[in-house]
Amino acid sequence: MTTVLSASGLTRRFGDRTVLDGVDLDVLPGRMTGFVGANGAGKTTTMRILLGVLAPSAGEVRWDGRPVSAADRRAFGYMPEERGLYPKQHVAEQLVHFGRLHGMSRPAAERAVADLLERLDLVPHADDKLESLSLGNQQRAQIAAALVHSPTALVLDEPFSGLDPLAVDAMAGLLRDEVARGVPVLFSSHQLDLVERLCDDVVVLAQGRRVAGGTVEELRSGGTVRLRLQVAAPSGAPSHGADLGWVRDVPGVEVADVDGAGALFVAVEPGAEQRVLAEALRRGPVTSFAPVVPPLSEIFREVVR
Amino acid sequence: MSPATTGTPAWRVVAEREVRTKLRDKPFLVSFAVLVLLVVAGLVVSALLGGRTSTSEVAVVGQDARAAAVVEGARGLLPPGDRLEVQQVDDAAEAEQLVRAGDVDGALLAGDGDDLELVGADEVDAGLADVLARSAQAEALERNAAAAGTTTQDLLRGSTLDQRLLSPPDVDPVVATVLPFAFGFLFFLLAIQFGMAIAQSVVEEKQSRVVEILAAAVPLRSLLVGKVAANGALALVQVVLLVGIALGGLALTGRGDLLGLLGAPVLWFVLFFVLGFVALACVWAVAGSLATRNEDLQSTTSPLLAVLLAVFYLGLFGGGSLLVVASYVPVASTVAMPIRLVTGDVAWWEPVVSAALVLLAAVLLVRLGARLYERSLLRTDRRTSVREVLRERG
Repeated sequence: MTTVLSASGLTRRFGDRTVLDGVDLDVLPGRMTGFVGANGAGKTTTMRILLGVLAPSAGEVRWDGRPVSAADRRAFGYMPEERGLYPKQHVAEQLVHFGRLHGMSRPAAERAVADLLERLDLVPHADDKLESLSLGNQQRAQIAAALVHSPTALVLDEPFSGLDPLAVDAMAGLLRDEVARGVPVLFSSHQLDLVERLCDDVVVLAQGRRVAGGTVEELRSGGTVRLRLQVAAPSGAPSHGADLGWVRDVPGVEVADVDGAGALFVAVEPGAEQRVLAEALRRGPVTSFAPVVPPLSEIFREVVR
Repeated sequence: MSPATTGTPAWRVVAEREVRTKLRDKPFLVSFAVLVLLVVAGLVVSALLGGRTSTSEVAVVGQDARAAAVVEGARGLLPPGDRLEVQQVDDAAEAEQLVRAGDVDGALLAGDGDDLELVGADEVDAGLADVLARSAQAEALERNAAAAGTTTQDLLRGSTLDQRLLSPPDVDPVVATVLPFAFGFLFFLLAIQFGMAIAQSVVEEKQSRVVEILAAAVPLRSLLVGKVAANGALALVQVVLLVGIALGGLALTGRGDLLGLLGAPVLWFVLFFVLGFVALACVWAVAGSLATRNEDLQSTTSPLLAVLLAVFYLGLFGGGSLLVVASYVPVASTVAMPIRLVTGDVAWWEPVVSAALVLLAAVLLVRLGARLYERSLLRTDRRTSVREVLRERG
């Protein structure tokens, strides 16, 4: 399976409010794509358009290189931001129903549900009404509803919100399994450490526009690389005694932070960092001198500013 | 095409779930049982009222062969089901004693001359007196004819009186009052029951937020078609069962004569019922989709309830030209046209035209309803108004 779920120029207006403005998106098969952005950036709107729940004012969703059809979408899996299943229906029975809605035959759906309940430890609750389940188990049933038909693409809106750490690991495991099947997976999240850990690709939205995107490495290297200098404090003197204030005076250097025996700076001029290192060595022993790889959260703050 | 597209069409999957849920719903089953009981009770009561039979007893002196023959002849003149018993006594005194004691309804004794005499206590049942008098006349006629060397048939030749009515009276007045009520009540009850079921099923999916998953999986149109088909089928099954029980019951209780009269109007009623229900079904779905919670349904369905109530009252109290007009107004015709078919003369093309009009209305309403439903269904945040939904594009 090498099918790409892509969108180009997605725009959506509600009245005279534009909530989505020309967003491009590629969700590649066998890769996990993280979708980040502040509240109201347009993530949910984008996902709803991808699934056909909402029509775009302009732009197009493509599957396998051609405009997506209702039949294509019937085979997608979706977990909306607002969770919900039939509260009064039995768990297994309604999962079979969803499988059939997604086009499976009854026996195939029944087999898939039995497997899935096993994987999700829901077997003892198969014949319970959904509303009688604990919140955690309801979440599992919810993800089961998105996975029952072995979707050809998976779109999940905040799948990790409200999960305890163990459940987060379980959910991550499920998503990795789907990716391993070669399925394109897109999920939105506010937990950037999680996105960083799980995702191959990231797309950042801000105020309805795409402000950054690419692989996680690309994003990081695209950010400003900062250097951290750490010197040994002179013996007997308190750590703040080692004053690195001189770094500010090195030409071609922009200091972000000086804190006693440590300094964080950016070499604006190529080679300026060598001057800093030489000067530091001249003054005393250096304990570390290294580039600081910015966490995604920092990139995020930078690009959405 | 992925291998996943081999299953049942989405609308049928939706309809199946809808039917299954309904068949497990206790209030639904109970209300159906109550309806069946009502129909059966109605049949039993009408059978008891209509087919009430009586048994009369007449005392006759043992040696009086003539009185015995008259009573015997009277048996043949009784209305079907009624019976006439003979109590043999030794003499007139004993007969009178039985009459006085109320053990018999009367005593047939020898009277003045050749005549007979019917003796009662304070009164004699008119029906009984009538058959006995006619029997006595026939017996005397036969005896006197034989004495005159002729026969009764010869004597009565040419005396047959046939009847011909220039303007025969309307239908059995009982039928004329009961049937409009039955049609109106049945439509009112089932249209509301299953209409409400559609609206509730729509709002339940909104309230539980499951609608977004459904909308992502299948076109909203399939969702709507499935719900309408399921509830429409359940309503139709109920109507057919109830009507079947009623007609079958009439046949069993000896009112088979009504079947010929009612057959065609009832079949028309079932047809109009289906069309009228379909016309309103999508409007019910819209009423459901405008609400966000079950509690909102009361206000979003009130226009529909008002329309149905009006149709019901029309069936009860409508008459004359009002009924004629109503029999062409879609939905109102569901009740009005079958009533006209029972009570008045209706040209063959009238129900056909009226049915075509409902069909047209159904097509228009289904289209409009489906559009409104699709637009308002995914607004789960608050109650919406029709005007608002119409204004919005896409």
